[in-house]
Amino acid sequence: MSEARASNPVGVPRTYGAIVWRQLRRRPSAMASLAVIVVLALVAILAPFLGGDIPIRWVENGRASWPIFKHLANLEYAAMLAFVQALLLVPTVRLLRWRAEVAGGSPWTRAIAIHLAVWVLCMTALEVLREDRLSPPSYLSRRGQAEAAWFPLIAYPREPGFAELQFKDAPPSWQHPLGTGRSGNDILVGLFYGARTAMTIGFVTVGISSLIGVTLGAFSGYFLGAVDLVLMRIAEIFMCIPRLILIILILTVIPPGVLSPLWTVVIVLGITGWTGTYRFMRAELLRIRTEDYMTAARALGIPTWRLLARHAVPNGLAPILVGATFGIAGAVFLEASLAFLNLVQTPSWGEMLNDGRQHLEYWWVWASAGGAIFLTVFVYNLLGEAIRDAIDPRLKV
Amino acid sequence: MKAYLLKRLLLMVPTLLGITFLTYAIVRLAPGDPIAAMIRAQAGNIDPKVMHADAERIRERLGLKDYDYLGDGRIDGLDKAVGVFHGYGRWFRHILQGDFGESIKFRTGSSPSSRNPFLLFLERIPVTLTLNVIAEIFIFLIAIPVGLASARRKGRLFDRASGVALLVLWSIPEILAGTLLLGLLARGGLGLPWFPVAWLHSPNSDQMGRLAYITDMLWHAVLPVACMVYGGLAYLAKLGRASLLENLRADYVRTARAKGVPERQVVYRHALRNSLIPMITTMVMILPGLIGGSVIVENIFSIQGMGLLVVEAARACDLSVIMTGTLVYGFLTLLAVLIGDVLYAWADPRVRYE
Amino acid sequence: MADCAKRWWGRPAAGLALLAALAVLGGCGREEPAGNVFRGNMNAEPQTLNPLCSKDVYATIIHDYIFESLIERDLDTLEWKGLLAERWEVSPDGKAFTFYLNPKARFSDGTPVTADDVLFTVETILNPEIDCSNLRSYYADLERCEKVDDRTVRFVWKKPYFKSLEVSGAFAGVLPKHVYAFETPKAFNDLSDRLVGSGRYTFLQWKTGQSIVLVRNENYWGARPAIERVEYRFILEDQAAVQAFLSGELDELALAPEWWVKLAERPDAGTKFQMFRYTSPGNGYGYLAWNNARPLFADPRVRRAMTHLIDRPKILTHIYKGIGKIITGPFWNQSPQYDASIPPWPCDRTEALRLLKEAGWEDRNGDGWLENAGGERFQFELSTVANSLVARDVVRLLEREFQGAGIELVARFTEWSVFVTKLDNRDYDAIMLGWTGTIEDDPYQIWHSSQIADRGSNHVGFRHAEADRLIEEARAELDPAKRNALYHRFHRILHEEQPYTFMRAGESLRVMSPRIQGVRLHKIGLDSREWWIQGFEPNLEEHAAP
Repeated sequence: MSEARASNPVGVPRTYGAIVWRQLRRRPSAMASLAVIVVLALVAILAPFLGGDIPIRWVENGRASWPIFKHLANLEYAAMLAFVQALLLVPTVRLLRWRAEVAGGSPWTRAIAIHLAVWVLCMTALEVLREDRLSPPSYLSRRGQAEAAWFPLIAYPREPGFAELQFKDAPPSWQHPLGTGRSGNDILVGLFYGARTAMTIGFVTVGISSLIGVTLGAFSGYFLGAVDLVLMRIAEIFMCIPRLILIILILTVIPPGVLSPLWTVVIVLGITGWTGTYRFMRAELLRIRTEDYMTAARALGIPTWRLLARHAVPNGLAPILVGATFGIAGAVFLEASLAFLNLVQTPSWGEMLNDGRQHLEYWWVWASAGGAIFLTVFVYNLLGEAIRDAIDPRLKV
Repeated sequence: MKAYLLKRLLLMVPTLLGITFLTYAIVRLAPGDPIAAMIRAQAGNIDPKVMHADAERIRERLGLKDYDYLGDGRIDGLDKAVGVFHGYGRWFRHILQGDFGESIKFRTGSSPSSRNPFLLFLERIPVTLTLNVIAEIFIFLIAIPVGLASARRKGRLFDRASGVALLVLWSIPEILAGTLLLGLLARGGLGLPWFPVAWLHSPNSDQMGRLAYITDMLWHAVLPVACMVYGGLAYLAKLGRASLLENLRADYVRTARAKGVPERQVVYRHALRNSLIPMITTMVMILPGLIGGSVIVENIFSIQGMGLLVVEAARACDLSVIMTGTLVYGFLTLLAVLIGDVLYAWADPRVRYE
Repeated sequence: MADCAKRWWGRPAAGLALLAALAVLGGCGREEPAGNVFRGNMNAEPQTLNPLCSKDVYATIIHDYIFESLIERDLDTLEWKGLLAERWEVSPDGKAFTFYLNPKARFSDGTPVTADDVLFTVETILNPEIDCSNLRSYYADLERCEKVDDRTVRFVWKKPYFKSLEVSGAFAGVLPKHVYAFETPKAFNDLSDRLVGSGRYTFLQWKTGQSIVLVRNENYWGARPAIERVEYRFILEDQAAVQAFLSGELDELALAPEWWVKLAERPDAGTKFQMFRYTSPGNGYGYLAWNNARPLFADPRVRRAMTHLIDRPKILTHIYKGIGKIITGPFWNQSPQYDASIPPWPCDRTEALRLLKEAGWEDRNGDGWLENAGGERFQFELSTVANSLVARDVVRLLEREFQGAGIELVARFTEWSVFVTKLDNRDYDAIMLGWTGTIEDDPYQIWHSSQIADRGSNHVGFRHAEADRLIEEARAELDPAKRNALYHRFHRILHEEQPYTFMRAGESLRVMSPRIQGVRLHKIGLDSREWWIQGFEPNLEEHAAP
């Protein structure tokens, strides 16, 4: 039922996902939110092209070179590839659907699997073949020597050095559209790179918590009985302890230096936030398990795991999406709180906000970081609300 | 009613046990030795040699000691695995006797029992609760009328505008709001010197009369409460709106209208009452969330509440306090859920007979 | 419809309005006439106020009000003068110090200060189960402390040591035996708020989380201070503390350079509050320690190269707003121990790279990083404490600059506890930290090679035969001029070897409300005993300057 392949002359969407998408398309707020999110992702990925001191193109002594590409990390290339592949996902699905004749399996799953495989392959090749931690020579100070140089939008080092100290605490100007901060760091450049932390924290955290929540919720809702009883109690226990307190407890007992601070935060946030997803998934499974197509599939002898993975779960994903979207907003907030409490030390918007709030009269620092957090959270909240309204059965056409 | 209450209380017990076990398990299963970490954390304040004896006693009381259960002369993985449960049992027994371990960093006075973490929390619960209850009241007083008004003007400007406004408020990080409130509305700041900078009471508050004491506390509470309220409005308002809408669609409303009951009676006497029920219970249930989140506000305004205690204990690896704290929070949440459920059952008799 | 809205709106709205009115009313008439009270602030609550066991600076502030030692330094001449002891004698061989207690000296409960109390204090410090090992280490060479008579005490040392007078007479406040006598050491260690001394103030109460209050000792045996009450409160955040100060809720504040500059720029700077800036040995200095035991930093040329890579003047000018001083050695830069003629190594990347090349480090494969002959990259971790914004700024700055020179510096921010463990175990490549100092320092603890083992303070592993010799000689040298000459030579060795990169000696920056009068800046700081509150001018005969 999740894939109706019958020919569709009128173009009325038949799959659940397509119906939801149509609803979303109608709401300008949802589309605007998505646009902002895509822009944020682009900014995060293309940050070195937007702000930094390594030129995109450099012509010296008649020879042209493209230094920025030499100095991009493998991880950055991987992120760019992932973004491009995410964009190609929908066309791939269309292609698969157009070609597929045989029933069984969602084109979405197949498309995701293909893209994932390609990504892993490329990433491994890159890691093996390319040495990416080079120390770049100084380009900005030798600007005069080049015949032509294309620098990023804001030609300023990402991290300030001694030479940049003198520009500290400067209000917005042409060279520094959002001013500079405590050590002469450009705030706008800081926002670009902070977008990376925000996106990483948002997506990976929600990825982890969704994975846990969906799996446990599916088991709980499908098998019921003892499994459900135990899992429900566990979820209740997690829900009883405020998330921040639980995070503080875990962060206290983890010995430092085990993981880099960013990944520590992400993992801890991820494993403490699964209860909401769990409840939604469980409720959906409770509803779905009695549906006809499930009974039919069971009668056909389809093994349970495939039943759950290919049929049940994809149908119940809609509320999860809502929870995930709100979860991303929550994760960004939580990270800012942890930075404020000095429990983590990652360069991020939260850290910038914490820095800036000590001196209110340097308004550009806290306003920019606070504004960035606000915008991201607002946009995700808006999107979450829109999705929630879109999947509300009462509003369907 | 009594049967329902009893049933809910009984169901609470396994969850309470579960909370204690989870807390214990996290501490026990974490890599490294948390007691050693605790000793290290005090390295700048207390000589490790002097602290060693105390720390070992705490280790015993918190059930974190490894024993050789198999009697084979070593403590290996199997011993450790059994130790998780046996240690939990020991800790639990200590708790039942009122022994929550000993705080390394904090004390409530100079008597021998001044390091009891439970007493530490008891001392601070009133502070946190005061703040949070006042915040709750304000959230209720503001969010519900807005939500109901939105429902009645569904789709129109007020509904849309308030929806967006509330979402905007919800998206403002608390740190920013707190700092701005402090900087712009507190004395000595960049803006209007209307409110105090820190604490919940003035220093000379012991010498004040009853009324003066209360108004003084309210005056101190304005900024922290404002910080906690603005974010909580959105959820409750949306809930109120949805709830009233749902009730307005219900059959009994249609019947009432068909019978010719004036519209305002329909709304206020019938639909409203029914829609308030889930909101009151929700209010009780979001209290624990507020309490957990007041850490930031307490930090910004130097208010010595539970949240601040937990954070400072975390920084100092003060295990007894953190474990007790998790228990306290968990218990308060359960209590709130229980009260919420009971209120709901009292208001809506159908629930009791399920 | 409208009046119905009012009807059910009415009650909650009225409630809201009432609460709001009460709240605002509470703020009316908030001008509390503070009275003869001095109100200070502490950024963090002390963990314990135990007179011997507490180790944080906030507790020391309180103890200074309550306890007194046998002798103290004159704040202008820096010479010793008697406090509880009216005079003292030094034996010709410099090993015995006899103190004659002032017969007028009394504790706040009226009992006289006797030799028994001094003996008790010293014995308690020497008791290995009392949690004061830092204090105790200074008494390591004490042979005995004996009571000559009720009012006379003698300290006999095993060998002559220039700091013996200081340790004997000024290291700890005298504790009244009848108050602090303990059955078990643990009972003493656990004492947290029993504070009875002979000083000008007595301890009234410590409301955890709120305030510590001291009141004037009306039985004080000397000249009573003018201020009747001293209160310290806890505001955790710098900005809130500054706001509280500006709105008149606090009378005094110690500031970091960035706040000082901000306040100094205000148009009402001189009138609304007083500003005092001075250097005192207690400010100490910051440094970067290169673990000499690690092969990477074993070569002094490498360490010197590190120093050449750091632009200390720029850091001082911009991050510390020009407040403080770049130093080259471990002594207080205003003291004769410090050799002021040694210029700091300049920031010179070319010179640094040259030194590194000499030591075998250069970019051999064009990837921008420095490698040694074995192909290993120059890579190390620099750790510092997590919650200092300034430290974080400096370390990130260094991360970037060193990268420009081809060195991979990885910044690590850890909790203080982890830090101390790293230090104790010598488990670090490089750290950024600081030491506080005294008027006259003995570099033995930090620089002598015997202090490398057993968790001594020589955590950087500095081992230099001549330096050891100079330190030992200086310890026994009682003539200050000769001793300081030895220290100058020692200072020069440190400058050549660069086990630390010495960064900056700090300054004290304090602001005070105009309520506090009589504040004078002495050579090494302020003396709270001579202050009074505006409106409560002291009777001049009663209040003689101490």
